[in-house]
Amino acid sequence: MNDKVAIRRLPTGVPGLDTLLGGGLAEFSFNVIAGAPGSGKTTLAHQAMFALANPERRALFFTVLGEPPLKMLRYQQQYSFFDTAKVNDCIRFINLADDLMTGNFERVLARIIEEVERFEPGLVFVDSFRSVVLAAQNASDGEPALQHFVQRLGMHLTSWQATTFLIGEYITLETEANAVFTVADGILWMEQSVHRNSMVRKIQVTKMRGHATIAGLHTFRISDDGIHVFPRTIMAGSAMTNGDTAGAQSAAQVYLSMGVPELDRMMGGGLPVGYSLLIAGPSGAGKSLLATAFLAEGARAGGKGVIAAFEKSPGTSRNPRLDELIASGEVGVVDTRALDLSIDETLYTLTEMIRRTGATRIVIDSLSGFELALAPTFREDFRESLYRMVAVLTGMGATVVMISELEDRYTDLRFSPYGAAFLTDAIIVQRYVELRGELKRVMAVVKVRNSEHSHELRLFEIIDAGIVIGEPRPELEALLTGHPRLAASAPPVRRAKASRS
Amino acid sequence: MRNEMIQSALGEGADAQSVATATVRALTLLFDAVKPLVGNLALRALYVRSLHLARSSLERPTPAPSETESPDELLASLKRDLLSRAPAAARGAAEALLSAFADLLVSLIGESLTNRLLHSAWGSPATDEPSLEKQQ
Repeated sequence: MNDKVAIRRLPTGVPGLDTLLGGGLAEFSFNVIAGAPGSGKTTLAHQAMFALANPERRALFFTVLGEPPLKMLRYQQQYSFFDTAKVNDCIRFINLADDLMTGNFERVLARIIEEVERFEPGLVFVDSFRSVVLAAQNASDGEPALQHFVQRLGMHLTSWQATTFLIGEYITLETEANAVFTVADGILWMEQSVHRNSMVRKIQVTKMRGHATIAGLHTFRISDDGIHVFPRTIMAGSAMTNGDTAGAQSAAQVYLSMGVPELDRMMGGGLPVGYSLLIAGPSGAGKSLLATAFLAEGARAGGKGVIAAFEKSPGTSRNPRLDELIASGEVGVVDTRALDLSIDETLYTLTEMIRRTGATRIVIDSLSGFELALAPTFREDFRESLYRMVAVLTGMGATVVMISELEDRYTDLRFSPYGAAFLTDAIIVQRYVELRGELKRVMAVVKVRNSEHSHELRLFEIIDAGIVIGEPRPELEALLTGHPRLAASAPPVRRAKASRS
Repeated sequence: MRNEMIQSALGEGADAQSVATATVRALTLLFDAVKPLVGNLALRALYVRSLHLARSSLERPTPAPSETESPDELLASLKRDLLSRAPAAARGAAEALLSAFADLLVSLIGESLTNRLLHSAWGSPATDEPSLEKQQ
């Protein structure tokens, strides 16, 4: 018989936060929400309070000397979660400024306890607790009195079965905070940083007694609906897309058609399910069109797709076929707000859409657009983040096509400025060549991991119906220089033999 | 609806004494509802601002409060002022003051929250009773 105490988790109502907390906040826990002014502490507290408070679990929100209550109520009402119907019934605001003026903790503590005993709340918030700390420093009794105060407060509120949140402005983990942080069961640390004119908000569960949490910093955004946390998605072991696991897949490999039959043949049957493909080439070569063909083929077979279109704003025309797919709901579009995204927010949006729609074909158009849409602070880790993103998406069973825009360089063969080629399972390269005074497009399959594929460079055209790949032209050589010429001893035209990469 | 609540809170007394007593009672109940929310200092500031706003709509302005007057003293001072007026003028001054206070709250914290506070203080116009919460 298991007679251990079962700690109930309270869902916070803050999207994404419960994931960090391993399911929610422990009931009757004594928590600190700390961070710099403007980092979103009060918003987080209010959002959780309005989500959790009900007639059976009422909330007391004590305001001290921080943000004036009138202003707090005025501004917090702008969020959609603020429900005035709960104020005074389920949620009561109480100002402690007058009690704190004396700097006497006993008086503040007595007032809090008196109100708690009268209202019997299940949730108690003290905002801003830093005001109490500062008052302690000004008073002669200082830190020992504060520690004593916090311990008594924690003990009393836990005994009264209240889940408690102390909200305080802390720029760093200062010494004075120790007394509070030692007593706390949980610490949520919030921060914001400005880097090259973009602001990024992050949250960290610094401490949480009693259950496991997801460590590290996680980005969050504040919108009209309040705070949305984007937990740093970590790939499961099975999601690793290295050669070993891909090899294990190959026994029962299922191929997806790219929507261009001849290209499927060049790839050895198509793009294996769960693979990531990099389509690299210069502007206008047909990368997006090929990605659209991939999505359209999925839709034709009854599947759903998702495109994260960083090159265009949502709503602007991409190409008619893609517009049709989006309009019919067969392809979902990830709304990409420029210049301040985090990888985790993008990944969250993608994975949510995949879960919601059951999409199996994902297109990221393009990596350079994606990098540009990220807040500058995340661009430094773009390669690592891309690796993580590909691993998570393919780990979900999705097949991912990423577009990499490259200037044609006729002295070497490159696929991505991010060194992304190694983390993809397949690569298709497109280039321009000059042939008899005309600009022609060529395409080749560079790699399809564990598949036999063609190594031919094939001329192709873009017509209204899509991409048409021409016959092999073995009589031409030096295509990669941009200036093909007839081979000295051109063999008869034949289909090139496939080989395994 | 706010006007109805104010009329209900002031009652139907026709003489200056009734009006003054009802006004002070209504403001006391309202202060009790608002004070826990915003604290003493903010409450005093709201009341002084309301007096200032109401003055513009009165034939004979209410006197400006001194900096040192406590909320109780402010109300006592208001009562003296209302008693010195003719019944209709007292009623007009009381209505203007309560309306200014309510409008000020609306402008700061919104209609919905203000109405909840007024209900909490004065009860609904139909019952003309303070909320249950006040009676506990």
